[in-house]
Amino acid sequence: MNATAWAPRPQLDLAFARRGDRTVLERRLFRWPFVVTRTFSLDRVPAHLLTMILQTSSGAVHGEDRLAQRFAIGPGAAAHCTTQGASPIHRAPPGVTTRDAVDIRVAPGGYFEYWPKARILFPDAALDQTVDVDCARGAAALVGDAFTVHDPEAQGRAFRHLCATLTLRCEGEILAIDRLDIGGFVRGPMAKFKAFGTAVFMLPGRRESHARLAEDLSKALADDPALYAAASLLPHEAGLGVRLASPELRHVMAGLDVVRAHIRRQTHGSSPTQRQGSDDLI
Amino acid sequence: MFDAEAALALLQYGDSAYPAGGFAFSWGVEGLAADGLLASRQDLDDIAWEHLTLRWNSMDRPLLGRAFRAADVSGVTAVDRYAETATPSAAMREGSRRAGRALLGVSVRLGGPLSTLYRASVSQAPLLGHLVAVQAVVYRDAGLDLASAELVSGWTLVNGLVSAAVRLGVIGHVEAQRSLGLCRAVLADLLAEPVPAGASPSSFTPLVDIAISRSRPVRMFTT
Repeated sequence: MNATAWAPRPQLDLAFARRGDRTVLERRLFRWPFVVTRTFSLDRVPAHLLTMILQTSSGAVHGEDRLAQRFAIGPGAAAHCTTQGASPIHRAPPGVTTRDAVDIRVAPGGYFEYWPKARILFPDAALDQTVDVDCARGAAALVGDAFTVHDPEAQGRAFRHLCATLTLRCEGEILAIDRLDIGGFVRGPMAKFKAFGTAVFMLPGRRESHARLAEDLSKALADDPALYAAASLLPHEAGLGVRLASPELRHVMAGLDVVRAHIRRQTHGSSPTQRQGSDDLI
Repeated sequence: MFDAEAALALLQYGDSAYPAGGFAFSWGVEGLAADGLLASRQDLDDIAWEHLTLRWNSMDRPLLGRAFRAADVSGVTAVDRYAETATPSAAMREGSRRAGRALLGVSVRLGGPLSTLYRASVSQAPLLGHLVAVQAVVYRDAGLDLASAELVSGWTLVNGLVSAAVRLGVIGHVEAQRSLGLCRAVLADLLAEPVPAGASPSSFTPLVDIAISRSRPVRMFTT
């Protein structure tokens, strides 16, 4: 199913295009709850990379939200999209599921980082999230995702349902699917871990460089004793995937920063510029 | 009425001594123990629950059903390919293929006609041979019905996890029987609920994925 099937007209529809030595925002359509202001050129390397900080006027995702976002990265364009802060996912009434669909298309020579802050699942939250990435040969995409649980009254109440589907394609062909579908929370050793993250780096068909990168990343992630994480090669030479888990969200987010820095050094020879306040989680 | 013939078939195919190479796979038990996340019988019980509930029942079991009901070899290979695509962890994919091919090899040597037919496909495609697809073929050759095939599939997983914990010295033989008893109840509860029609396979075993993917200087098991 196409990720945007729930909403014929996405609330956020952005297209990035290469113009000479820079990337520009060629299409900028948005409506409630999304707010798009200006873009930033923060990185010296790659100099044409455009940074966008997505905002929402609602400040949270609510039970009956049906969100759809679309990102198109044109040939040779480079963009980094993040969010203003973590997204609380509030309770959904019985029988109702919050939906969030993200559709990403990266053209040959394009580079895209979809790097939202974490989702915070409140008691009785029910979320169905899909992220569909189509990365052409010769393009690269880095996608991060993290979630944690939070009960403001500290009564051990859990979210109701989380379904998250990440589909990775290359020019339409499905290379990998990562799908979880859980109700409430879990027990045993996993119950000690309150925050989980996943990152995928797509560079279709370049297996030889992925293996070394996965090994280096796993070693780098092992430096944080409060983080349990490892990288692995994705099926069909799609790229590499990273799993992260920690009792605390900040360690997962720090681990994701390590992943992004490694990927940037691999793809562009330089770490990303740290934004002021970028360590804020909420 | 008690069907002794069917029960004996289940005992044979669910036996840890069935020569399909199951002893080579710990499905994350070794890595979790090495990383300090599995140190007791309680931990093992919880990890077995996680495996059964958050992967086997939601991913392997629906795929097993699809492959079991497949009308022809192409239907089974479609499930096999899906298992490859829907398993992000490289070590898990590799382990699943190795375990599947070992099981298929035994069934071929025993003269299973479907197994022989399916091995012709698998031998020409290095990404085929995932355990769940092969189990469907082999258990059909064995004359099991789908409910029995699901039972044996779940039970061999449990057997593999518990046996790995014993061999790693995490628990003793008596404790292993207690774990098996507990897993038996978990598996029976899961089997009592049929897989919903059209269920999309899913899994959530991040700790197992991480444990299997971390590089280690010395390993006893393939996974």
